[in-house]
Amino acid sequence: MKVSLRWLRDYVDFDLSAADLARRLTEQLTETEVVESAGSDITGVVAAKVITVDRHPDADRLSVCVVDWGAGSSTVVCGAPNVKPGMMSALAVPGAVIAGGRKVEEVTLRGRRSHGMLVSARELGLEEHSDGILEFEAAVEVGTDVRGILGLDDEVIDVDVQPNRPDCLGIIGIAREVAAAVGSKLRIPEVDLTEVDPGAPELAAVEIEDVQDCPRYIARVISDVEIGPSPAWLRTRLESVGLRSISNVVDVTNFVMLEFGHPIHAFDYDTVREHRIVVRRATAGERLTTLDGVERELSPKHLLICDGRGPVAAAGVMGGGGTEVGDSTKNVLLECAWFDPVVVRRGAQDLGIRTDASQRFERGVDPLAMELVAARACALMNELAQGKVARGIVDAGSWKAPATTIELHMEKLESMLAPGPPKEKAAAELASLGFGVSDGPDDSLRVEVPSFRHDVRLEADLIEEVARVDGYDKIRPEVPFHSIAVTTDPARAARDAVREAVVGLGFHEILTSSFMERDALEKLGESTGDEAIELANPMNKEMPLLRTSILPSLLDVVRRNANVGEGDIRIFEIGKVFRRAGEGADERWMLAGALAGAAEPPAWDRQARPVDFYDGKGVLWALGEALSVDSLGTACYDGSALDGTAAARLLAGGRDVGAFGMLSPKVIEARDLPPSVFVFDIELDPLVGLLAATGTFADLPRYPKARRDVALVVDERTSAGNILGEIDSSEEPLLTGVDVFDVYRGKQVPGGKKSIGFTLTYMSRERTLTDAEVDEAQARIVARLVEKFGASLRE
Amino acid sequence: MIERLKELRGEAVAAFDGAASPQELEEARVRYLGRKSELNQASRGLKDLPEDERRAVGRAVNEIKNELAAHLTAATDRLEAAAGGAASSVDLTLPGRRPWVGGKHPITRTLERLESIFAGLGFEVATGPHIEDDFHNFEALNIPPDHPARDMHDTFYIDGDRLLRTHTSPVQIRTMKSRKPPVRIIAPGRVYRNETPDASHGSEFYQLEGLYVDRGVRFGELMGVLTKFLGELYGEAIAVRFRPGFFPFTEPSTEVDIECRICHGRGCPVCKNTGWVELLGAGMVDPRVFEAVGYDPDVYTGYAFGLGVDRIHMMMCGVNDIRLYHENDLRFLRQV
Repeated sequence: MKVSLRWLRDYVDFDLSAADLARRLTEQLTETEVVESAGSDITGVVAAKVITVDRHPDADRLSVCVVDWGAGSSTVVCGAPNVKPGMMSALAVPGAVIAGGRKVEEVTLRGRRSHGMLVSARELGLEEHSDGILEFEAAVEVGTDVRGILGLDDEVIDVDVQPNRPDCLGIIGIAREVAAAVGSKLRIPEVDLTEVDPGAPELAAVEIEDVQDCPRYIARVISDVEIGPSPAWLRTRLESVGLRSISNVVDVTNFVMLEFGHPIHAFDYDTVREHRIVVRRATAGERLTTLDGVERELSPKHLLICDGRGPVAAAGVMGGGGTEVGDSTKNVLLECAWFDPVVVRRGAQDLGIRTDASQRFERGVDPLAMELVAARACALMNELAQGKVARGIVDAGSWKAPATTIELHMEKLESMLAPGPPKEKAAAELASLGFGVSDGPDDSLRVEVPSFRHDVRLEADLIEEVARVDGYDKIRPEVPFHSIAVTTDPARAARDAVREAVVGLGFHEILTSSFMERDALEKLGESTGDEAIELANPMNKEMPLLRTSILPSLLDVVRRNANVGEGDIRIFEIGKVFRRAGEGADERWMLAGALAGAAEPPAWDRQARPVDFYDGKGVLWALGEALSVDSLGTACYDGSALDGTAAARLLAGGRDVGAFGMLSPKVIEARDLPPSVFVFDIELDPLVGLLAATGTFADLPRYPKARRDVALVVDERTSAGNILGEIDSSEEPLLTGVDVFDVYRGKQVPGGKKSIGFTLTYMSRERTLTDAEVDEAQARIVARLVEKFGASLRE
Repeated sequence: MIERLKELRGEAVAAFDGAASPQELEEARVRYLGRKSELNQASRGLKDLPEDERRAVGRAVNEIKNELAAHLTAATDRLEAAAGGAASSVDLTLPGRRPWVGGKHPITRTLERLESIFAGLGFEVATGPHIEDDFHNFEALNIPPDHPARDMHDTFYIDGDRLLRTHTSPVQIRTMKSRKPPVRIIAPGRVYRNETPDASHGSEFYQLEGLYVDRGVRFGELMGVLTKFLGELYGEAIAVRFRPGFFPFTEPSTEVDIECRICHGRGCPVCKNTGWVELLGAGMVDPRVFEAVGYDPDVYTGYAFGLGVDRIHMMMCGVNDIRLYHENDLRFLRQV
């Protein structure tokens, strides 16, 4: 809500600069800032009296004038048709700056020197079009800076009015806050109305179909109006807050709305058929062309203002074109009503428009100010457009806001605001905001809530009123000690542990969108199925689903980084995925990651090697080790996003928890990804149970380990895992570990065969082992493998 | 004899110290310290000397041998250094072989920092679903249907009742419904707003919500705790301002500003010349919220606060576009 300080001073006296006022309101009401005013950049333009006007000898349309501007007389060349001797206008002296930052210099026009320029309203930024130079109506003193005369030296503040304070969508509401802030008195304009016969009820009628929608509707009739431009003071008022001046009658409706915060509407009385207003819901398919020229289709959710035949306005939202006040309007029917906030809100939402009116009605206007608001508008129409105000009002409905009285207990106030102001001060603060305050029982105040403050309903609301007027800085900050046992959610702790471990393995954490394209998984060769949850109103129509997998957005991050030259990638995300689960939704935590580019950081003594399956698998098993999850295993991968020859399902504690492997070449091609990408996608919740919070201590071994290597030549089909499993099942009591140290294919082994080298580790917790017993155990195992796999020993 | 040995020593020292190449040095070594060298012969001939002379000569031979060995070592080092380092030496200026270095997302690090400060103030972490219903996200928080306050939350809807949470406040409701006071929690997490992202607004971002409910909780405690928190985060000296605000679920409500860290309160474009930057919204829990969760508003009072995690980090590191947090450009992640 923009507020001109000059305008504000009509209702309240204060001795503050714009900046200080903005700060004061910020501290008491809501965030307020000073905005640039329209004429702030205009300098050097003064009131000047035109003394003589002569035709320019060499140009028909130009005049050569002598003007008196206080400090002297100047000769200027003027092209305006309305220039005449004796008129009071505005002179931009050489060096002056006018609208748009234009600088005025001495110029020669057709051989005549012009020492400055007589300016129009347009040239001062007041109007979009001007027919001639500015003419001041009132007697002004020559040489006066025109900014003062035109109100261009006004300052404007912008108050960020919150939804609970519709009263502050009127300048009087803001003035009331200012009065409370500086301790001065609010002046509400008094209306002295001259009424004529016949009375309004004889000229018009109002019917309300449902008083739920419109509890009260007041109409007044103003006849014989002379439509014309508004006087300068009114134009300036409206322009100072960013509204355009249209005509005296329309400007009055806007002015009064801005003044009281209550929207009113002027109909051209003669176009209101049967001079009858009907407030009713629209029927399905009914149409109305609104003031903005758009034909709108309506439904029963819209409340309409109709005349005797059909719709003339969308109630509380926008008027209709057919009854608009225009140049030929003679008589005006003025509406001042109270529409149901929810109805107005839904109607405006449905039409997709938000107007100054709808914004105020949907927050709730003051029901008790209606007669004053309507009278104020009538008085101004009488004053500015010479309209005759018909006696009385046409009044339909009878709603008045129920009076709310709240007891404010000082004990409660003190305990909440410690220390809190004394009772008399609290009472004065509430009274300054318009509350009716009297003594209540048991050290309390009985507070009557004014009709424009329907946001105040509870004692807590009053405490806030006192607190903010008194100043939040009066409250004593305290940090008391409270002892409350704090517990930690094990699932969250587990996710934190996983994150630490993955970062420790050299990965950067990323956070990507929860939204997903409809065919995101199809693009990876997978199917979305019907599990995905769809948004009813996605922001980006391309991304309507809640993600069921992190992989699509993860791969986008891989691609984007590769495209900017960051191709060596180790990234991961810990995030939620969403699935339908019956009527509800299943939200699951996932760990997804990717490796791409070089397997190792570049170094001067090694060749860059692209990431392969074993790099990624190593990361996962290292992660298992870091988290003390030693029961990792693999199972067959049957999806399509990954390369079937280099991918597996991941088992943890025997349970399938996800997949990992190299991305399939098809996906790499289709998604424009770097050549080799390893990904993993793991469900986190099942891991929580496997994460041992603390290890169990066993005595450290006191005797040395013995190692024996063996290289077995086996069929290509035989996997390392088969052999490791067999070694494991030998159950040799001294065997404590097995590692693969070498895999070889080539000249030294026959075709179709490979050699795998194993290091077996033996240890006893009781004694140092002898070579002989280690050799024997090793021999038993080797024999077993030779027999099982038809292996031979490689020398 | 002794005289000769002294002569030998002088020659050998000169030869070792003056050797210009490894070959020269090796030749000198063979000549003066080798098996057939005069010194070696002298030591072998000791047994033929008379008793008293043998002792003196023997001591001299040993002293000279030790002295020459030291000169030989020094000469070897000198020549190797001159050769620019032999194969066995380390060039300290070559880069080392680095492992990959990772890092947590700045949002995660900020959350961890906030959580640890609040843990120190006795707050426990609570969580809730991202898919919420109208009751928990709005109604229980005193935002009835068709209330203009809903305009403050552009909401993603799934169907009539279900929506993506627009703030972490529904976690308050869930926690209060499941526990009796005292309740002292923070609820960090991702929230969603259906607004077109720009430099200062994301459609997905992170909030941290705090709630404390007990008997006799005062507004001053809220101010004290938040001042303490901001002091921990930005340094004790940071100026903090509490001013009125509007949130349907708190009454009184306050917006909390800190002194602009760019201009230190003098006024600059970042703080729109006010000297202050808004960081938190807070207030005393509205009695209507207590009614919605079944707490007796005549018995309990409490405070709640909320802050934008992304924003805290932006202020800390001078990041000028909130969208960077979700683009995950590695160059950004490594920087901040």
